[in-house]
Amino acid sequence: MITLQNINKLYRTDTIETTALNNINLQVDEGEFLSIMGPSGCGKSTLLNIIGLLDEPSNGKIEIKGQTVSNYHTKETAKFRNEHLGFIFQSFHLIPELSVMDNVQLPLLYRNLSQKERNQMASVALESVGLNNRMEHFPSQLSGGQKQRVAIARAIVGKPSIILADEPTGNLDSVMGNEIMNILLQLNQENKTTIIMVTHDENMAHKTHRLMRLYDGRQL
Amino acid sequence: MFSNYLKLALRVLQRNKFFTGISLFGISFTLTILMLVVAFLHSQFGAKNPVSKTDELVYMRHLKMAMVQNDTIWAKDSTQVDGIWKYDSTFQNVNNNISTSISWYGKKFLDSYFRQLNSAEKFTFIVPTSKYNVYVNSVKIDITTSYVDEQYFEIFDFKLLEGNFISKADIDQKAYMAVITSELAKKYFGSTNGIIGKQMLVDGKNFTVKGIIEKAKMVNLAINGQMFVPSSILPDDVYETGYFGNYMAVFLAKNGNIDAVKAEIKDIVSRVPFLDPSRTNGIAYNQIEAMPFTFQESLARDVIYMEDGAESLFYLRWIVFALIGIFILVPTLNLINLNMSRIMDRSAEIGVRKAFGADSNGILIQFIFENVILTFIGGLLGMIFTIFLIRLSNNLNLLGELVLEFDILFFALSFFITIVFGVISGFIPASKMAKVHIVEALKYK
Repeated sequence: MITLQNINKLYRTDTIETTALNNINLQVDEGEFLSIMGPSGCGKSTLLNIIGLLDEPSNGKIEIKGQTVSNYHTKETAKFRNEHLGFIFQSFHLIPELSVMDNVQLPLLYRNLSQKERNQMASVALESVGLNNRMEHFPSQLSGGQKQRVAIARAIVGKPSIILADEPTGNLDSVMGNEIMNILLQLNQENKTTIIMVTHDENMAHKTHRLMRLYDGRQL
Repeated sequence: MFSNYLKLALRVLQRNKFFTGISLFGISFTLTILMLVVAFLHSQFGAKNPVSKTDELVYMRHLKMAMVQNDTIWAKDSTQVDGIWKYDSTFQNVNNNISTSISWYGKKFLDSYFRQLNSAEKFTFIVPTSKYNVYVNSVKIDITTSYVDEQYFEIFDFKLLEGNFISKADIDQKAYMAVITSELAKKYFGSTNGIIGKQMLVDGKNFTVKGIIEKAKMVNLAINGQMFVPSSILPDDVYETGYFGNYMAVFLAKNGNIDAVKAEIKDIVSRVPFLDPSRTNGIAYNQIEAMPFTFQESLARDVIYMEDGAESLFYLRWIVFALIGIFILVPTLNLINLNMSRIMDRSAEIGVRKAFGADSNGILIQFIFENVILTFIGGLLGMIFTIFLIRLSNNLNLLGELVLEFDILFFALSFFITIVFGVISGFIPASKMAKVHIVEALKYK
């Protein structure tokens, strides 16, 4: 499903060169739930960004669903992300001016769909996270857990086969964190969605199929 | 997608009320000024009754006579020749203007030389805007009277509301007939109804009202009278000294060829004999120059006085363009600056949109669209302010005879300016943000 070969990520300034990722090789199977752990600054988010095509590796090869996506141009990458990848961020990143319904529809705006189709798909996604009674609310009217559920609905509305979650429970208390984790587990089990999650929480990580640890940009 | 952008744009404007207020004030104020300038130019320079043939008219308002004498200037200086200081003399021949006089044309001068221009289809000789005070029921009325001939109303197509224009018979019979504006009719008679044939006492003479016209809505000496009477009632030698007098002439060019009219006028004047000094207070004028100008040159010359009307028009145009340019540029730069800081706040949104499939062009279009919405609202406000100010100006006669107009073409032009303004001020910030890397954009909380 996802193959990373010899991925390196270097940050260069005039005087200094920092290695964020050092020769990462990774294979993630279809339907697998992988968690990535490691101390702050070890390169977890950088790795997730590279897998999610939000950032480019300095060298190495990325294959997703049999396609060598590391060679894609910007427009192709944007299209690929829209069709195959869903993102969940630690700080939700909902657009405050848009209603829950409009926020969830955001990925669908970049597909050739009618308003009616978008509404239907967003309603289904919101229902699956238990928020179909909050469609016309705005993010400021929701709790942290509800915001993250909206973010999950936004990530799954386009039916992507891969979800990348960057510390999705990091800003939530344990009750809400568990709630979000259960939704992700359910998505993985019922829809066979491949999920890669960065987390600091050992308990959450142990609920996933596999745990990958990083230290100073290296795989342990 | 655009309905989503529109929804978002309106909510963003509601959220940042201070920014929105500042931006809308800047945009609407700028556009109001711009639209007022356009309305002014359109109303003053545009072709409409009674000057619907602006491009075919040549005005002769002033005659210039000068006495020029050749003089020799001797300049003495010291210079070194073979290391020895010597005096050096220079002689320079120059034309010195001893005396220059500029005034209106004399009737006899016009009659003698300008009644048969080959290049003109029609002509009219006018004594424009003489002012008289008249008392009606103890109320003083200022009446501006123009003395005209029978072709005047053929060249200037005033809208006739009732009665008739001055005819050739009126001129030939030296009839005390008057064509008056409806505005004067209301002031003098209290109404415009049933006053044809009634008498008006002006300057101690009784005039019979022959026609009622709509007043000219632009400032122009040739058309700004309230009362038009036959010029033949004036004595032949009225105020005339030599070639000067109280008249101006307007020619309607054949086939619109105004250059031919100008050239013919200059040619005729070049052959006019110089006056004997005994007729000009002892001044031996040896240069005569008619100054034929087009309608627009004539107006421009009233604003920027230059010898050559074409030069006045040239400078006036550039000044107007430069002012309009500055008026657009300054608020555009301000809006760009405001947009830059506003758009930075939405960095995370840009990151999310890109993560979920938006490309740079999509982001660019979204933010330009939002700015166009903002400027569109500002434009609408500007239009409302403009209409209000135009009405205020017209009702209070703030610009004298000039009546500002607001028509479809003017509306379309203003709308176009608004959109250009929106696109320009939105483009730079939007294109900068559209290029921001997703990971960097997402770092903003």
